[in-house]
Amino acid sequence: MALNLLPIVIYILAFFTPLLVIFVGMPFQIRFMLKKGIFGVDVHKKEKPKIAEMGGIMLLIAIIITSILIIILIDDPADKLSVGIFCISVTIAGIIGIVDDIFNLSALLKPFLLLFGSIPIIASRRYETKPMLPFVGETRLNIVYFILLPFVISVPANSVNMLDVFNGSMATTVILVLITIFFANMIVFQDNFSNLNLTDIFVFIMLGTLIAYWFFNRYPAKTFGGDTGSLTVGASLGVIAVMGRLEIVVIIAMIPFIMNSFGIISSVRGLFERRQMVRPTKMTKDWKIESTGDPKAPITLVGLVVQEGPLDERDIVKTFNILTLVSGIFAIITAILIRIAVGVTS
Amino acid sequence: MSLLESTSKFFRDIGAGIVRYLHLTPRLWKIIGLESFIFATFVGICAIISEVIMLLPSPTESGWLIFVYAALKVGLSLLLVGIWLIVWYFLTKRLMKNDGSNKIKNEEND
Repeated sequence: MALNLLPIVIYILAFFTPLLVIFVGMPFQIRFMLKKGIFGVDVHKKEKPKIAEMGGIMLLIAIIITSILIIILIDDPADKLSVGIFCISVTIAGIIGIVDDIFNLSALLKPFLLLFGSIPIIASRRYETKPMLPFVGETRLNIVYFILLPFVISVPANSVNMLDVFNGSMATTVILVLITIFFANMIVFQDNFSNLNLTDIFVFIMLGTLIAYWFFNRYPAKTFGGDTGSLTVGASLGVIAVMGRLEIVVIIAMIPFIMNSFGIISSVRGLFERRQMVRPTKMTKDWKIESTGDPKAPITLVGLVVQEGPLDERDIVKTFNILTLVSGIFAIITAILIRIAVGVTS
Repeated sequence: MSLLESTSKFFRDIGAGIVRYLHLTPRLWKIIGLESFIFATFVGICAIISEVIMLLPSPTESGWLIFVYAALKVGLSLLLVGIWLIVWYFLTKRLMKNDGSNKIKNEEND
């Protein structure tokens, strides 16, 4: 069934389908979760409201439905397979998130299981062992790339998971990373929308998903994404980086996420679950967030941000956005340098 | 609320949001500095790889020697990237350690 639709129509569908699915489905899911008693307490609010958990399931459903729709609508079998691989890898991460939300996986088992998310990419050979670097251009890293490939889902998924701590923080920061990837893709591959570009499709699917999710997760949140949401979203970034050949750009755009992970891992000396660690922040009398100063607590990006005094939850999310915006600008500069290098070497 | 009022409120909200962002940025100078350093050193490493490591002479005769030289170049580049990651890790740790000392200082002042 070849409909031969214009790329712009595919992009519009890729953006609006998840948006619609989430806007329609999320209120039902929130009601269902609250009815079944699956909720978390928002500890950063004075009233300690009960918030529906596992909102990430709706994100996963939206991504799956949109991917299937795109597979039906596009012509090229190779592109169909790539969209399928994107969907399968993200779904594997999402399912691990669901299992984690229900059974509380150990901090070591979760990243290990996430390694399986990269199997579809490796098995289908939807990668190029030639990452592009500024000044250098295309490199040939056959062996090294293959060694690093299994971590392509696990590392970004865990990094996003570690920064998903406040209302709207994951959605807004990842939206900024996705916008950066969109522009970087335009710069590096001279994408002019005349041909169908897979990276653009993936970015639009995730932008539609996250913008809709933000409406339900922004302050004051009506739902928490849980590990289902953060692992799904983080995995998508890993897949986009590898299949879009923008590995270095994504690493630079994700500097605040990586910095946060480095801080946590270095301070607690290993991988631990959030619930196993001492809380790094506490609430002040006027319900702002400040550091506990407990030496046993993990050192996080939040800790750095509230160094100069307590901050409101919304302001902390804004500081995350500022940091992601700065790293996004650096990622765009990286893309320009890569483009110059590739132009010179080709 | 009339259309004019709601439009004006919308733009006022955006303005207030931008002002809030500008107000918050100065307190992040340390972290933005670290981000800038990480980025600058990465670009520097890429420049070294491009202008020094890639230009190291390679043998043309023997097949296995070509492989060894290529592996050596990749190894050197990876060593630089490894050092970059370690520096990034320790700088983050160092910056975050200040959290505790600052807090103690603040408490002493109180």
